[in-house]
Amino acid sequence: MMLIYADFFRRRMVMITYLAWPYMTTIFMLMIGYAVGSPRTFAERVGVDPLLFLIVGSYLLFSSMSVVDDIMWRPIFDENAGTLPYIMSSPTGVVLHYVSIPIPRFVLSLVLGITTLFPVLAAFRGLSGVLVGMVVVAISIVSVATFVPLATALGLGLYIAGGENWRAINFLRPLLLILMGVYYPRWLMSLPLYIVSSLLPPAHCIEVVQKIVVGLVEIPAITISLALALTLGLVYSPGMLRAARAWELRKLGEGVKT
Amino acid sequence: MRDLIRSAKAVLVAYFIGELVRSKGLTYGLLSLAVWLSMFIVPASLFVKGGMESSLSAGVLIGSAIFLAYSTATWDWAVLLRWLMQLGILEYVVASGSSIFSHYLGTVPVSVAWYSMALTIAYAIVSVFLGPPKVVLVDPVAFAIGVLSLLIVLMAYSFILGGTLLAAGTAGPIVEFIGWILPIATGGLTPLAFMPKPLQVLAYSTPFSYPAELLRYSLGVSNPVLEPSLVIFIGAAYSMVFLGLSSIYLKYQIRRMLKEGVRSAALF
Repeated sequence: MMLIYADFFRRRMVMITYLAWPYMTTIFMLMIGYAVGSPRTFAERVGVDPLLFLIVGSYLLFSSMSVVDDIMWRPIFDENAGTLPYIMSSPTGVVLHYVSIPIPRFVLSLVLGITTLFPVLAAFRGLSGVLVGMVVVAISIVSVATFVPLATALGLGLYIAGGENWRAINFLRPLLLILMGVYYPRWLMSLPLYIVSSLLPPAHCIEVVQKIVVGLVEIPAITISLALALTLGLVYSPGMLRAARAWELRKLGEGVKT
Repeated sequence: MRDLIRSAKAVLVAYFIGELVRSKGLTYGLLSLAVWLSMFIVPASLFVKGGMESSLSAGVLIGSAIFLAYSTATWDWAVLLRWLMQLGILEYVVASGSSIFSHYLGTVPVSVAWYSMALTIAYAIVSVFLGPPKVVLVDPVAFAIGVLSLLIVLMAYSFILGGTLLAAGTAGPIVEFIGWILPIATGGLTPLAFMPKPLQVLAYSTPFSYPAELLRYSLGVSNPVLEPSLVIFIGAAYSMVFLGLSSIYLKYQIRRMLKEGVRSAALF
């Protein structure tokens, strides 16, 4: 954990860009939206001001990516840095290694929530906006935690199938984000897409967050969605264990490229 | 000159076979691009009531085209130097006596081919989700100067970025950030006329805004804030000056690298 934080604070420009990214993508989306239509139409269709919806979407996008990227890209980073042989030969198991990766990132997600959500939500809704922000941050952490098993299984599964190919990961990431509905609410998706996205644990959490921001959700619905996400997270856990073990055996069998 | 062309050809063959064919970079890259574009363009449909005017979707297409051009310059040209550092082969390139510029020249044909395919995908996505874009060439001369000055400006931008990467070593997230903020802040995505006055001044103080304004004007999407003839003149002159200065900067960073050694770059 300390290594992650030390790296984060040492590379100040990286830290600043990390905190600025949600604003950047929100501005990007707003510029496209304003160029082709009106915010009033967005508000009529989605139920909330586009700035509010998109900043929450951007926060969810980057809090998910900061954790999931770290898991999916870590084998490639470790291979490039030459540290993979040490990781493979350390007494800590591969599964434990990958499960522990997101933990320091959860705290960074909290920081991102404070810098991204709180100012905008407070400006729009005052104190109640800050409370909504706290709920959103809490649910986003559950969302990412339930995503870890699937992300690890998919990432390591892809590496087993096709080697350490960052291009495959680069394709998979945005696909998962679209299905999760970070920028396009799931309740407006077509039925087939909605069913497919239901298989992703964080999709349920993100839908709840968006409905809270829009003001559509009730307590039982939140509970059901979070329970569904947690259940799916548990369902994918054996897949994560199997993929991690298979990847480890493959590396031990073939050796690590340095 | 002959050596430079020979080196550039070798880079082209190596890049084409290694990156696009052997590692299936073309397939994955285009698939990835289509998904990323969809992620950002599909939500724009939420801003639209009923059918969209074709001139508006043309604006989105041109914005996407400019953004893709920045992306190509960033990742194909500038970051190539970082790849060479990361793979530990930049020393060998330098020691072989071939110019660093041969790497830029060698990747241009692949980048152009890639960019054309990416633009076709962008056209398809905009057509499907926002409506078919209506693009009319109203001023061929302005269009030609716009395309040429965009190419020059982006090459110069990649020289500066490449030189900075040589100087700084690890700077992946910053590069990614710059690749996004530049087209947004300098009117690459939306016409300058739609932007607040301070941003217009900021955008016109950089060489990046002129090609974008010229392209939109020449394709009948929007008029520039300044007189079109003035935009043509300043855009052409500014891009050439920018290319000259950026070449000097890159050469300076290469000389500095020869004195101080190649920096190591491991993490993103």
